[in-house]
Amino acid sequence: MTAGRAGVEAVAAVEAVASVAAVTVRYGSTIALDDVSLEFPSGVTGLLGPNGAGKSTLLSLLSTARRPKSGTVTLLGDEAPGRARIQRLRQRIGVLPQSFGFYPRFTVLEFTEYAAWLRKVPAAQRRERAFDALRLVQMEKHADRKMGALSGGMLRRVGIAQAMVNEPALVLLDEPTVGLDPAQRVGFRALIQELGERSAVVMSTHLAEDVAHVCDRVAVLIEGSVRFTGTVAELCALPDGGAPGKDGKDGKDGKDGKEIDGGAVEAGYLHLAGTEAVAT
Amino acid sequence: MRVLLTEMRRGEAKGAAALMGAIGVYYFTAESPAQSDWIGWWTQTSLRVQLYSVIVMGPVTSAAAAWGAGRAFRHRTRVWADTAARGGWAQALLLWLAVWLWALLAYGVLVAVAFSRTAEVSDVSEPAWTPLLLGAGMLGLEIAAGVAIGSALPSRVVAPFAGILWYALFVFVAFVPDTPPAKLFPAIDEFWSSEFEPNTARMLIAFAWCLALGLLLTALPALRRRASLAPRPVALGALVVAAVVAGGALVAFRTPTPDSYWAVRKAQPAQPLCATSGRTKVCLWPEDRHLLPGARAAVKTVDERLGTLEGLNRAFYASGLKRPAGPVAELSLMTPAETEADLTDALFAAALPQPESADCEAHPLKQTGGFPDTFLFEAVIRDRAGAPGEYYGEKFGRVLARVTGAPAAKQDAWIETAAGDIRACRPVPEPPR
Repeated sequence: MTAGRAGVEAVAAVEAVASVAAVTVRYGSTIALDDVSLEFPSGVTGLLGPNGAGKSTLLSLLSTARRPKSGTVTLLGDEAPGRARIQRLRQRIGVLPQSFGFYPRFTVLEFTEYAAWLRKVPAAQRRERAFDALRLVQMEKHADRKMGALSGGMLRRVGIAQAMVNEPALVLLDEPTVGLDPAQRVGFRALIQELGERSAVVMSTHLAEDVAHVCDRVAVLIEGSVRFTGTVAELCALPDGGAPGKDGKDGKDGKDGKEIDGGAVEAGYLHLAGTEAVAT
Repeated sequence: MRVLLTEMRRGEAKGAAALMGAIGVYYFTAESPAQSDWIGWWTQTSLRVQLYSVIVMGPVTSAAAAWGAGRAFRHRTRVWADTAARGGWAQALLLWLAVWLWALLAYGVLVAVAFSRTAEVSDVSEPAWTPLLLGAGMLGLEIAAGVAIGSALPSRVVAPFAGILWYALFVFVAFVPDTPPAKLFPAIDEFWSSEFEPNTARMLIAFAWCLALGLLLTALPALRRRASLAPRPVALGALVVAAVVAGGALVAFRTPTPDSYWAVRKAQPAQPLCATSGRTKVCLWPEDRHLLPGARAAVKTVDERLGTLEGLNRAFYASGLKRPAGPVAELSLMTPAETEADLTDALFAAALPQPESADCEAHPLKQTGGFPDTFLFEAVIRDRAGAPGEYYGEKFGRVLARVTGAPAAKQDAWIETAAGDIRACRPVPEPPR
């Protein structure tokens, strides 16, 4: 994980599976990402920030669904790949969008196989891979159930399964715990941690609690800018009342990249505008 | 393959195809051979199945495809489908193929039903495959248009309009035939007598056109979905070239009127099928073999009724058959004469002499109230043959009764002289008293 608005720093000598450098994305006059540079090593990386912070936009860059106006995106060692290489890259990336759509008439197995087809898993391996993915999320017993008959938690699990069906090197999860009840959320965190042992996982969330329990590293995004990068322990070690400046250098602790512009750590809780408080 | 089967099993197209198939089976089984203008003729049977499929089944399956294509928006799957390694074109093709296969399955059932109806009647087994191929191609094109429309405008309301659009196009083509749309979007609603056969080259080109344009249409959604992988330019370019060449050829082709654009005249048969009785003879195309028993009976009746009368046509050759020299008439079976009575009537009509000059004008006969003299001639022949024709009023009837009431020798003399006059474009002589 790296910090800073202009440069890219290696943290703990972990090789990055994906990275973005000096990336800017605009929607008309709105800046969604402003000169963002980040690296994503193996393990689980959390993107924490309020709604509209640019988390989903960043994930869309990592999923190759979008290209930046400026800056570079490097995925699995490939920088600015062409069509054929994007196709190969996508075979090694799994995506669970925030708004996970599904076909209610498909069975769980059919849907997962369809996802395998979309990810160009060889035909001979599709069924086996689909079952493997369903076993991973403990949904193999529900393989013949219609998608439309599943609960919210089960749907999220199938969403993870479809993202894992191609055994990806990079998994992108956009707000994976939204809509889950507390019990389901706890179970889901364990699952995401397990995914992190298999692939590099980038998980966006506005729930600081998810980050605290699941992520090895965290980047805080606010208004399209990176305001904090580091480990969860470093985030939790922020002193009470941390309220740094925008350049990340004039915070109370005086350490670059350890402050949260737009947020604060008060009385042992991390506060960000638009996020839930999390105990530090 | 399994994904395709899943798409077929879970998509909406199966319902549309099953419904259209069921309606089609009813349509093709309900028709009576006695009333039909296609049962018994293989080419006509193929044309009818093609027509039903293109005009009735095509728009409905097109609407089903549009509905299916809108599914990605309704169920919000577009976001992750856009990040797939499989391009947007392949995704659209999967849907197109699933709907097309269902439609083809229903199409196959209709072909089987319709062919079985013709096989019950016809002794010949010569199914015409090219019209069926063209129908299958048009189905594919209609479904592809549905996929493109449903992807571009994924609204629940828009899907039915994909079907309505096609139906409106066919109505337009029906009112304005012989225009490029009629050639580019064929729905052949014609009756071809046995002298014609499908124009294989044109139909194959039209099939290629339908397929090329259809595949191009399925590529459009992927071109619009910028996040998804766009189709390969080489493949798109090849399809554009194929569509332009095939479509251009179809538009450029000309056909001598009044022949059908999609038909071509057959080569003469080695041996036409002929039935003879006395001085009367009828010859048919081998494809009309099933009419032969009725033709034999009709020839016998006509021969008996016309007896030894001279000047009338006594040899009849079906349209398109090479006729020998002499007083030989063309027997038009454009509207199929299914029954012996119909054939007999057609033979009587064909027995009447015709002016040799195409410029011959009618000669009104004052005694009949100004009706052309050929009307009286025909009425006399039909009366003698026991095959009454049209009623032209009392005045006409009185003159007719005067002729038919005259002694036989006088009648015969008048008929034979009048026949010669009609051929020479002269007024017939004064009717006998």
